[in-house]
Amino acid sequence: MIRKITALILALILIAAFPAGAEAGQMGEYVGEYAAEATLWFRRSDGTELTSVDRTLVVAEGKTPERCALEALLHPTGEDWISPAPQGTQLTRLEKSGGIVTVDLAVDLSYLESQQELALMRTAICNTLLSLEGVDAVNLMLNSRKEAVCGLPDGVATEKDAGAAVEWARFQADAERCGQEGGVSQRWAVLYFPSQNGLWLLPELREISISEGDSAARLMEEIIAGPAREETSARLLTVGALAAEPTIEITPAGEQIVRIALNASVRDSLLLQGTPEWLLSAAISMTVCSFLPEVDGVTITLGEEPVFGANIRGANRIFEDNIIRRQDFNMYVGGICQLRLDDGGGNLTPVERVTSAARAESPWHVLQQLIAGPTSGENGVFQVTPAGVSTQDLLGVRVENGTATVNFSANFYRLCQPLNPRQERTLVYAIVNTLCQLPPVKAVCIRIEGAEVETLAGEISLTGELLPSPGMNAF
Amino acid sequence: MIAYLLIIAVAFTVVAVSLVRLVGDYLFNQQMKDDQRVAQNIAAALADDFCARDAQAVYRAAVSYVEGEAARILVLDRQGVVQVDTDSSLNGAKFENPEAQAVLGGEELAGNIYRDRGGAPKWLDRLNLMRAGNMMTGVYAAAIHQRDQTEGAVVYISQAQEIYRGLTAIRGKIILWLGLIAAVALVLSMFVSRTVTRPIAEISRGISRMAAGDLSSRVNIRGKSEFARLAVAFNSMSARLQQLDNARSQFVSNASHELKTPLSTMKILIETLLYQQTPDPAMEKEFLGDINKEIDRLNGIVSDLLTLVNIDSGGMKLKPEQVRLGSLVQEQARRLMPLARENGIEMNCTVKDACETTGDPGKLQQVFYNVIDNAIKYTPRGGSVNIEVLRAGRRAEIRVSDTGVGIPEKDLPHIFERFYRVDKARSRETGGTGLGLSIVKQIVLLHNGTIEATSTVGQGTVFTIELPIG
Repeated sequence: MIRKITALILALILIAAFPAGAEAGQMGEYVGEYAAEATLWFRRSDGTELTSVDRTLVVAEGKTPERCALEALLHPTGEDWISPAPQGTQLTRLEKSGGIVTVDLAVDLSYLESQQELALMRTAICNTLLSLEGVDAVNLMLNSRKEAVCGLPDGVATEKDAGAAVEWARFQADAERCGQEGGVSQRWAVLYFPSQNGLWLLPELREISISEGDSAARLMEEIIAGPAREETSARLLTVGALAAEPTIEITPAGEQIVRIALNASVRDSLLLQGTPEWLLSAAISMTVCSFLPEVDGVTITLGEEPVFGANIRGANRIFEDNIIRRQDFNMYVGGICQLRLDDGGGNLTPVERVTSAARAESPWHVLQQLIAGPTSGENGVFQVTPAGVSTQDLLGVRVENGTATVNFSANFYRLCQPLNPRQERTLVYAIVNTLCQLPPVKAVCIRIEGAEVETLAGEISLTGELLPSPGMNAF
Repeated sequence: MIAYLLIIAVAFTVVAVSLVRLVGDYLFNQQMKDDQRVAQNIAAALADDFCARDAQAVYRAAVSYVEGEAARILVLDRQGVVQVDTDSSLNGAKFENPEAQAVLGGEELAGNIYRDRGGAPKWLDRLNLMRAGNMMTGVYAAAIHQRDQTEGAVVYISQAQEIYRGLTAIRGKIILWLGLIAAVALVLSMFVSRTVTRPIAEISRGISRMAAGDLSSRVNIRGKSEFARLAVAFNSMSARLQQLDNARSQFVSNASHELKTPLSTMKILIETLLYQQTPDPAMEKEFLGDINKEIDRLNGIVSDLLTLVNIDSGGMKLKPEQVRLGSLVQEQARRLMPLARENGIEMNCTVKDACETTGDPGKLQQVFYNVIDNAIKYTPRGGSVNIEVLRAGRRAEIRVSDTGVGIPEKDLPHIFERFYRVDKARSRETGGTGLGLSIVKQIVLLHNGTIEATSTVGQGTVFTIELPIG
């Protein structure tokens, strides 16, 4: 009783001392500089092999470990290290979603004297990125296109290669095998599916079998097979959607495109399941262009009608020459924001929400989602914050040296007082476990109006930082 | 028996309690040492991941350590806040436990075993290990170090109940085995009691009965043990005592009777004389002569009794000197020759070997005189008495044989007993006291000799006296 009165007085003092809500204490998000461990793969001085060096990268504010690692790789300091990419190579685009990193480099390919050099560069970049925490797959694109190695798609790298020479030998062996009748090879590809909420594209890794000349057909088969994660991704096409086998053509402008003929019924299917049509174009173009080598875009026909444009979230876009390019939709690659909500029994059940890739890794955005609680479609989970708490009570998140300091309002503190020990633990560790899923965050501190408090309701000590509790996570 | 049982029970209870306590202490100490080592190893293994704040790795490792065991691991930060809990129920809480605080305060290791006897500290209660049947919790803390700084602590909580259960099982077995040993000891003690103490008790009872006057008391102990031999000796002793007592009683009875008889006779004679109306000088003279004879007889009995008493009490002292037996025997024969002639008995004395012995000549005279005198008394007129002295090896043999009335076979073993008379009437006529042969035997025995008698009724008797030569 005395504790509650004391807490109430403190809350009132804090409220009086600091103007409520957005006027003061609203710090928004700040992710400070932090360190990330990486293994950088440079070219050896003889140019035929790679050498690796472990390095601690300083990830500056606003940057990501992947970007920092690439920059260090492309612009090495020190005389001993030679970049695996030709001089002048620039990072054009870096996408990361769900552990899949797509790198687009602007490269003068004339500097690459052979396919072997191309393979060496690929190996170096993929190995470097795969050494980073949270990176499961790397899709390397050069000049917004995939390059072939030994005439075959190089696919997505999912494992660190033993060495450039070994990798090159593998590519050669694959090419030889695929050249034989009935010969197939395995490649990892990134398939893009529309999100359930119809707003984003979600990438998914899939291993596919390819042989010479049928990669496009194999990709379409996989798209028709549908997403593995149906809770977040929507099925795009069904069996019988294809009107004809995809074909590859060269346009008068010298661009290589893939023609995809779909039945008109596809439009009806999309309408029925509530998937915007633009996602069809986005998913197919992203998938095809992210895998097939030297493909600049796709054309899609629905029935007899070519898809020449799309209404993307209310804005119309026209595809030049009806060619749908990857660049038209690569900004719509979303990410899955994973929250930890109360399952009613004190455990924290994962809840996934699709949002932009950047937001999916934003501590601020993730916390706001957590405070907002479960949506109408999310059954079996409950709000972790007490009634009355809103996103306005989240004043800011600051990530520094791996510790996320979360600043709540005095109102939040007051509303937490009546929580019993189980509720308090569930609330605090929903915040901690959710935030610690994000790469730079290893621990969480909770503050009230910027000040340290001993506890919210008496059970959890908030004087220091808290590590996540994996045992509370339900699967 | 009950005393035995009590002693055995008390002794074994003390042993059992001490043993269980010793074993328990050892097991607990050993468990504590082992668990402390475990805590230390865990702290070392988790240090790097904990300092790198890799909660997932620390949790996974901690869970693997306690998998399959009734144990729990907490990892605390420097402030004592639980950062990792294999049970996931104390994360974020301050763990105010003495061992953890000691380690966070600078100690390397700390450990203790807590028993749930009610009133458990709050932190122990919250561990929720006090489930049914779990009354003992071991709590061990070890420091997590990095670069010589204490970054936190690992608290390893184990269930010590297994030791307790193990001890209970050991205690049960000890009690069972000691109970069995006690039963065996009891049976053995009963056997020993039967073998050792019962015979002693039996003998003791026999002695008590004898002390109370029951000389017929005998002890019945079978076997060949010392106790059995002791019982035989006791029985023999009590038989001899009974015999002696009977003989004493008989002797007193006989002595009383022998003394009383002449006194009674004298009284009658004197009363007759006193109450005579008319004095008769001839009768007076006869009666006075009879009274005189009775006085002589009385005197002889008293004298013989005194002699025997003297011998019995060891008061008779011999005056040993070299004695020529042949001469001594001849001398006694010469002394009794007139008596023999008077009774019409032919007496011959033959000394075949000149034997010498060391003895009291006076006493030996008495021996030979009595024996020859008896022979003459119990030989009718016309008979003969022959006396021989000869050497038989290293002993001198004096043989007195007669052709007298003889002694019945049934009386032969008793003729040397005091007051024993074969024919009371005859010995009274001859003036015998019934003590003569007793005295003779005692004197012969004092000289380390022997005396025997053989006889045939109606044909005569032979007395053989043997004495050592030298």
